[in-house]
Amino acid sequence: MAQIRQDDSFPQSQAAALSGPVSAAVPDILKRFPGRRVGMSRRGLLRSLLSSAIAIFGVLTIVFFAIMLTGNPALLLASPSATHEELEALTRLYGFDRSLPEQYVTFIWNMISGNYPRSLRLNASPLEQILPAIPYTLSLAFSAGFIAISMGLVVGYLSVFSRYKLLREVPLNALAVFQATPVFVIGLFLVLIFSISLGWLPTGGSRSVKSLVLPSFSLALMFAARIAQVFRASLHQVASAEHVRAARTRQISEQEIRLRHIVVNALLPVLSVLGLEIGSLLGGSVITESLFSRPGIGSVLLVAIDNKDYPVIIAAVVLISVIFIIINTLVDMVSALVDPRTEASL
Amino acid sequence: MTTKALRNFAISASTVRQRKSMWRRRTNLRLVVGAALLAGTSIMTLGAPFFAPYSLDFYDLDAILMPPGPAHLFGTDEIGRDVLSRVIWGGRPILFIVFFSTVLSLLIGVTLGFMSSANNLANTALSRLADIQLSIPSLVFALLAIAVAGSQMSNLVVVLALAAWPLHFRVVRAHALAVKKLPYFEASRLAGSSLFYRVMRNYLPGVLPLLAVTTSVTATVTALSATGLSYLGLGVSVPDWGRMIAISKGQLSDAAWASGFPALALILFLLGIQLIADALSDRVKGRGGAPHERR
Amino acid sequence: MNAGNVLLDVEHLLVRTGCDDTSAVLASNVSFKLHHGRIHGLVGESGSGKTMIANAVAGLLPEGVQASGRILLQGTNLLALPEGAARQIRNAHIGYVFQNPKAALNPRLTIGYQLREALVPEVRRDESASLKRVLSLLDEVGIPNAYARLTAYPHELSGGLAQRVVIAMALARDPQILIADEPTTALDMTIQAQILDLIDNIQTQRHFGVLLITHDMGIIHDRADDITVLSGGQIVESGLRRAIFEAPKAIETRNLIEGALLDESLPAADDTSPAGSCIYSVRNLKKSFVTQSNHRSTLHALDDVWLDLRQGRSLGIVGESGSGKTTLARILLGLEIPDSGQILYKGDDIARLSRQSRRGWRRSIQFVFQDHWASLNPYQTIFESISEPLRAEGLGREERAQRVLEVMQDVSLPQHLAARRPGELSGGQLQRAAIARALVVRPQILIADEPVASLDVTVQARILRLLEHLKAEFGINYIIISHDLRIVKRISQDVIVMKDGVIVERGTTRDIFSKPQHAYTQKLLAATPGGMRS
Repeated sequence: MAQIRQDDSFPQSQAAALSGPVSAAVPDILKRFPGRRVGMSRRGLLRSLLSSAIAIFGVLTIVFFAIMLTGNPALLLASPSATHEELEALTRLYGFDRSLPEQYVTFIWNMISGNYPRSLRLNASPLEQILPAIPYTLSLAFSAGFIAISMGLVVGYLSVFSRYKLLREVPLNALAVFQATPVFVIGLFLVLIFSISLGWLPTGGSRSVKSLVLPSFSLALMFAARIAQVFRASLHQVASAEHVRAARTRQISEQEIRLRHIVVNALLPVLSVLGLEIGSLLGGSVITESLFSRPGIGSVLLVAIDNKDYPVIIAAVVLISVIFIIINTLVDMVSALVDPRTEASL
Repeated sequence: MTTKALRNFAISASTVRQRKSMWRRRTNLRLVVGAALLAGTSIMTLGAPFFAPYSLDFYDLDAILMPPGPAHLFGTDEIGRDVLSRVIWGGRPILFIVFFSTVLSLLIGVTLGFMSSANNLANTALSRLADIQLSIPSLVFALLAIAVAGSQMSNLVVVLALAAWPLHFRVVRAHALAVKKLPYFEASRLAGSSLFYRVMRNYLPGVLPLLAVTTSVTATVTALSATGLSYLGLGVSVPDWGRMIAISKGQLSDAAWASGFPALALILFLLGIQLIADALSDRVKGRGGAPHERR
Repeated sequence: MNAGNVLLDVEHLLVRTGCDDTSAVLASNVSFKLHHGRIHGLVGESGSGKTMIANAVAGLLPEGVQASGRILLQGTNLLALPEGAARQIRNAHIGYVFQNPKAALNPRLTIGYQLREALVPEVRRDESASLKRVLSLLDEVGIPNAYARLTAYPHELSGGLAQRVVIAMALARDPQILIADEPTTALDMTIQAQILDLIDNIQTQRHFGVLLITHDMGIIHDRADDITVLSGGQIVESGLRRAIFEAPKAIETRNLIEGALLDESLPAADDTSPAGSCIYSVRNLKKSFVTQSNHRSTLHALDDVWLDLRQGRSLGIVGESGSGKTTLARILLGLEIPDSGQILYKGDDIARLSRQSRRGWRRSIQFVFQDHWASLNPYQTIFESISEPLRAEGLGREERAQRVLEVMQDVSLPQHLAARRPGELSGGQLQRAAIARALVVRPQILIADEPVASLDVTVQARILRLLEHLKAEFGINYIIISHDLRIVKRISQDVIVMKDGVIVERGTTRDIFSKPQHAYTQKLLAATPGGMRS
């Protein structure tokens, strides 16, 4: 976008001279009123991608060091009954006898190209276990996120704008209680009520949409409170902003003011909180999958830990982190879209 | 903000003075209740040798799954262990992990935060490090560490501290960078005061409330992670609340007390920390945040 | 003097917070009339109620504040109508210009969108009609290249441009009354003048009534036709401009006029004493910054600057934002290191001073910061802040206490404030405390950056008098940095004018003000409210 800032000195006479027919200056085809300028600049996009790339590299590095710290990485990759010769063969195969930088580069390269060491249990690439599990995790994460955001926004909005004192106080405090409860306790609680007592919903599995309900809600209740609190604080702050007063002088309805000038402006801090909470969302999904017997990546990871199937463990950890980083980057991009100023500071 | 604007604000704020004092009372209430819950559960747990009627492992196969009664106030579990005693004993691992992990994360975070504000290179490097640490969900990071190094208490403390230090780091760093630009900081420098004096007087008072908030938040998150891990069976080998809930979850429909009471204890403990965290963060925000955030 | 129709008739307006015992009265028994085709100035210090009155007329009172009395707009009493109906009438007939233009614009929306929102619903509906109208509004307020600007966001505009947009929005519904609430406080001097000229022109062309609210009597002097002076929520004097300025009756009016440092009543700084030796010299100073933002560009803050500070004469540095004056001050203090150039203190290059003499140099030159709210540590008491420089000198507790109390007396700061924290002091008191801290080590040179900005007018006058008194008593040399020529004229004997990092003109106060040579200096003088022409 061309630099708008210009010298402000503008002789008064010019204004008078321009008071003639203006529409003549505007070509006919441009008679459309220009709306919002949407979209990130190419520069901003590159920056986002760059930081996510760095983050992914960082994660891989951490995993690498975790493996190296065990002392003898070959042990991790071999089955427990491996003989000394087999261990040596593995060592040479994966280059564990080479220098550290060399190993690092090989490791990174393998991770990126999907060339994972073979799973001990199945003697196949871990991806065969993990890839089918991804949809289950993603569906859980997204529906939980969706529920949490909706609940949080509605409760936050009500706590500020509702006419009824009850609606302003009760939902917010109710959510706050859930915030302090671990996800498995919420899960068990919900199971107790809805599955065992009432029998409405299944206790787990992955067959139907119904089986998604309880896990999503358990997960969502974990951080809906945060969203509600942040949204509420943000609404308060924006409601007393000067541009809202300015909007009051215009001939638009109170409803329009509220929506366009207050609510949407207040969404920005919610987005940044969202980015932080997604980490706990993904962590919580591991527990939730275990509780509700959903075959997502979390379950794969837990099973692998049980079996000490290190290749799968490594692959699962890396993939979960990659998913996290991607979602975070998406949230950043949405932030930039919503508030034009963030892009300037990106 | 001009003087006039400030005066106007003060005038309009006087109308919310009533609302504010009510709100401050609410904050204090939360602090008190939170502290009470936290202290209560902690004392109970620490004083387990005195409070618990039975030992942790004592079991009586003739008294399986008995509902709460005079002999066993909280009932018994699947192999006849007294739930009350187990609840009292079961808080110890969690308490220890949360405490030591939080302290360790503070040490790391504050030290690195200071280092990062002193030097430009350190700033970029350490900030990146913090970002990377935050790119792995903390539970997943813990699982990796456990898989690789085992789940002894010391490992868990270190791992959870590693997951939590970026929070303190960011706060310490941001505050340092902001204070550096403030006029009164420079005035101190012009006055010729020593570095030590400047840090103590100009920097510390502002950062302590912020750290109070991050500490309580860290404690909450760490507690949730630790119990989550023990629920999954990957925590310490000593039975704690998470483990108990996991073990007895099969009995939910018939003998809810075996899982229920540990869950209740856990909730009260977490609620205590959470309330303190909320009250502190409201306090800090209510005062207008750190000085550099004001006006 | 054609009085014209009465557009706005305010009668016995009472503005208060709440209606119970805890309520505070913000304005009481206020009555005035706004006539067609005239500019009516509401002037007073902060807390005088002028903004609340304007808010009451415009319907923008904050929550919990109520107005009673009569506000007659075209004969209809707005306060007697239900809120919805009153709002409709107001929005149709009143245009409001806000004090902080960037804050008044929604940062999320383009200005084109917001301009369209400001239009009357009938026009708003139709796209091409909206476009035509918006473009003509932008032309009217003097924004070139209007069509391209429509997709700009508020943060991309300069302050002056943003204020023009806000004015355009106020004009959008062809109001009969324009209320301008301190429309230029956030702007540079030259831009201030432009905006006020713009309002003048628009008023002449559209021939409506303007309610101008300000604390600056100089602006009133230049622009207003009728004046109402407020103090403590009440009218203390009102009348036509000439009457008020030629024969002000109320004390408050006189204070305001004096505080505005108007040309006629302004004594130039005393120039009689001979110049002494040169105590501080700057030669060939250059300083650049590399900006850290998206586009890494080099900002040349200072380019080949030189100046002399002589014993017995104070120096005023005048410039607008971006002129480099603050950077210069920081370099003079040693807070920044120049890229090249020399700074000589009593003939010695400060870069080459020994440790011992360096300390002496540090002691002899002190600073009063621009933002007095932030220049004192909010966690320390005033006493601790003021005594801090003495600690570094190594003085004992007793002696420090004595010195602090002495200096507090010198600046007329009541002793009981020593134990308080900055949050409990008023703006004027804080500034005195900051001055006290600077003086406690008995410096020879005092650099003050905008020493009276954001202070009430009467407080300003008192602080300036204090500075003069301190100079007379202790022989301090000032370097006063300000964007406001009136202050510089009052305090300093020599002036340098800066623009974009370069000194465009220098000379004695008398010369600069009576015979400005450079075009920029002339422009600044013309822009200063209160008529500083020769």
